[in-house]
Amino acid sequence: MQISGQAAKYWLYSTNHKDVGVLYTVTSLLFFLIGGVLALSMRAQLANPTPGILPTSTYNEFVTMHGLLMILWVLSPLAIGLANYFIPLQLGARDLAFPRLNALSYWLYLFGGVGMVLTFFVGGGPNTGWTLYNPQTACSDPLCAGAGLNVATGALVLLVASITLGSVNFIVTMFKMRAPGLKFSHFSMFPWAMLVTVVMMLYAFPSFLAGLVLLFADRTFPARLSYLSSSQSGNIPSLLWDDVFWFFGHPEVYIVLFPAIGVIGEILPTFTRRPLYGAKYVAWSMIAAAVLSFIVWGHHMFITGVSPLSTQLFTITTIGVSLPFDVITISMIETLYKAKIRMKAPVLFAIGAVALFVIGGITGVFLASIALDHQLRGTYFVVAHFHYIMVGAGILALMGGLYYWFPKMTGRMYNERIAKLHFALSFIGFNVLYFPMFFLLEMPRRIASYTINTGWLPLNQMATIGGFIFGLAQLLLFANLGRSLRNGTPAGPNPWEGWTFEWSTSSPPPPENFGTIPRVASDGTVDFGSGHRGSLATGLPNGHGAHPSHLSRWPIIMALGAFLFLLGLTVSSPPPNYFLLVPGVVVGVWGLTGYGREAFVVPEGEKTADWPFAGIPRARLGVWVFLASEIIFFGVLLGAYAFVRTNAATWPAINSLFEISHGATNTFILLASSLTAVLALACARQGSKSGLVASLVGTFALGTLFLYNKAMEWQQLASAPVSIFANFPLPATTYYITTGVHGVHVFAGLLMIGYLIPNALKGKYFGHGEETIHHFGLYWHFVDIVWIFLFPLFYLI
Amino acid sequence: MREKGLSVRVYIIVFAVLIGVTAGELELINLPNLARDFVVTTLIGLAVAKAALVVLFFQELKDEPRPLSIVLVVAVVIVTALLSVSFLQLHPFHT
Ligand code: HEM
Ligand SMILES: [Cu+2]
Repeated sequence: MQISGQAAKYWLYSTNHKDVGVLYTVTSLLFFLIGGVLALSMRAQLANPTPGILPTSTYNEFVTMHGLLMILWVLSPLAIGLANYFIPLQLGARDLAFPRLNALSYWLYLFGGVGMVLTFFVGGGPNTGWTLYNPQTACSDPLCAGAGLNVATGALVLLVASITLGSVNFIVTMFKMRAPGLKFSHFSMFPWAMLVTVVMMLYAFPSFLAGLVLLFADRTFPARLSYLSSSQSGNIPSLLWDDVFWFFGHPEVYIVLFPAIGVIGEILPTFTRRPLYGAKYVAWSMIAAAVLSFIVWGHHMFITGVSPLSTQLFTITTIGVSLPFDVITISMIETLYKAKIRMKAPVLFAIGAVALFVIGGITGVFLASIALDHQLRGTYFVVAHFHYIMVGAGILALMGGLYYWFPKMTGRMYNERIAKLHFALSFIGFNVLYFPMFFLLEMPRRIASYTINTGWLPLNQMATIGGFIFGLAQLLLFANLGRSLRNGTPAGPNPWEGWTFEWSTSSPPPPENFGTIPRVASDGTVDFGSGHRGSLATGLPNGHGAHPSHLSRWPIIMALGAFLFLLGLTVSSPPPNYFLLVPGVVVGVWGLTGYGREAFVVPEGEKTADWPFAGIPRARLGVWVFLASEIIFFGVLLGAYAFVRTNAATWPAINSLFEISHGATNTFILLASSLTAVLALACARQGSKSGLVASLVGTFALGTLFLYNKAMEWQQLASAPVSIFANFPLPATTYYITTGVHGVHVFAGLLMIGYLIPNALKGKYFGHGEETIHHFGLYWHFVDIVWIFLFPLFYLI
Repeated sequence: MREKGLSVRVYIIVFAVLIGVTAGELELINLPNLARDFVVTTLIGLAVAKAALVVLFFQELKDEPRPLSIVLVVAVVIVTALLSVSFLQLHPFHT
């Protein structure tokens, strides 16, 4: 078993983008199986009007888990898997900008998924629907909405962490690591789509993260329901949750869709042998839709009783956001129009996806009309609408991508006939499954049983039959790809005569992708080194030269630590469970330290194209991009506080509950620590070791003092003769949550300094090393800025 | 050593201003007869100003390529939009 032990180690530790891509892809397909089994159980239940196979409570858990898994653990990760593998190739890069961070993203994703499934075994999965709506979620008993919801919150936090790190990674890669001369205008559609996707991820997910924090607080803090009950929302049930969730949720539906558009945009040109019609406009349309996607979320709240003015506003923006999709659809249809299409499986899937997308899009426009929406909201019509988009367009296109790129990933062809059968059965099964739902205009979503005289039975039975056709057809995919892995005919570098960079290297590509990084001349021709200049279609030499190891054990260890920590935080009632929490911290810090100390060589291309960020080093750009997501996270947290506060009937006068002196002292401390942090940078630049060490120690001392003061204040509040939670539930919860999250950030900063000081003593951080100090400073100052806002908002107003 | 970044003098001046503004905030709330709206707005305005100082001088954003600011401004704009619209949904017309 020597070999398999080695293989296991390889897959656990590999940071190479292609390996991580494979891991993502395979894992997402496994979750697809789990989500699919849940779905088929539900369909089996609904083929019969009375509760039978699934009791209502189980049904509700299944429907919730199905939605969350399919959207967050299948669709996006499948796209990210393909992107992991192919974006660096298509950019002419050797890897992503931060390979270990990429591996960390994957492991966080996997452990998050494990946590999600685990909820079934720790008292029941969440049963709220994927939108985790209140007030079902937050009732007076923390377990009322399924004990598992707390654990699910933790699992979702892992997922958000994974996605945020991933989007930082992709953004930096795409901006800083393009092959020399490669401009954005040279991009094919997949890189474009992924760029827009990861940018949306960066800005949308922090709002969800903040929402999860609020949700968790409402379920576990002594004062239940501080944020999300109706009285905190101006008597509109959980308006705050609606806003925070859908602000993330609408961009999220594009996040799962755009990669599919990108894949279609790769497949159509390759198999029609003509460029994508109006490719430039497709790219611009995606950008426009992405921008608009952040201001349409209110169309999910038309009937919640929000003010008519905002409803009108959202109707207009929603109509606006559908226009770019018209452009995209027209481009695809025009590309296909009268084309001589080579009818292989990938293009079949792509064409099928376009067709289903049209249906999904048109029905979406219906829903955007307020009048119709009043009738249709919460019915199976909506279910049909978004499944046409997410499964019909999303999943089918990504499967097309899987077939398209399988030869590149494995070096072998899949079986074309089985693949075509897979497509045919999927397409038929899909329509038999979802088309009837357009006619279930009165049947509410998320119900497990109904009475026979509703007349819903025949359509439901038809849908169930379609569901099983669709579901079983997917086994063909697994069988086909599994078998072809060994027995497929060798593919050669470019079986489809594709035009993009990935087809210029061998199948599968060597660890570092290219012997010589291709260069793009300003006229768009490509130079592949060694005088070999020409078209991409010919297949090129690639060096299997020496390369440094890309294995690192730390990403998985860090992810495990985070997993144990969050599990410990959420699994017991009341939380926390120290038997998990403490090992989590230990493992996490161990992983973090190992990660920091490891000398890891990032494979780099030669001089890369890095417009418009030429002047800023890669890692620093990464830190800044990450901070952009933090801005949104804290912005939403503070906004939630403001929301609760403006809707609260009373609020304690200033200086009565939270003493100004505490806040002021801590403000001065933190400002001073920012000064020492920036002095540390100045010393590093001037090469003054003693100055550097002294400044870092000063920053550490001030940060510690800050936390100490904070702890004293918390202690004092908690031990006051009148219980703060009983008497001031809202001020108490908002205060502890906001300052608590901030305190965690300060603590993380202290950990960083704890790591920097010993190295500074060893004389690192001069010359190039000063960047590290700079990165730390960026983070630390950001945490300071958050406090600059917390202080007046909590103590002075 | 190549000359890079700002001089220590600048850092200290900025720090002094930050401390000064904070002291001003503490003074402000003790002033009698100020309308609450005015105090709240001023305090938030001062916080924004302090944050801007930290971003520009301590985080040295002013010396970074301009497009980087866009990344951050977008984030600020997005949250502001979210918050304003959320409030708009409740209070369509200011009372
Ligand atoms: C093309 C223009 C589109 C329009 C105008 C549109 C409009 C709408 C509207 C108004 C709703 C709310 C329906 C209701 O709950 O009553 C809705 C729901 C939904 N849409 Fe779309 N949509 C469009 C495209 C998409 C796309 C591209 C996706 C996904 C990739 C998508 C996924 C969803 C989902 C998941 C829901 C249900 C959310 C839930 O309540 O669980 N839609 N759509
Ligand atoms: Cu939406």
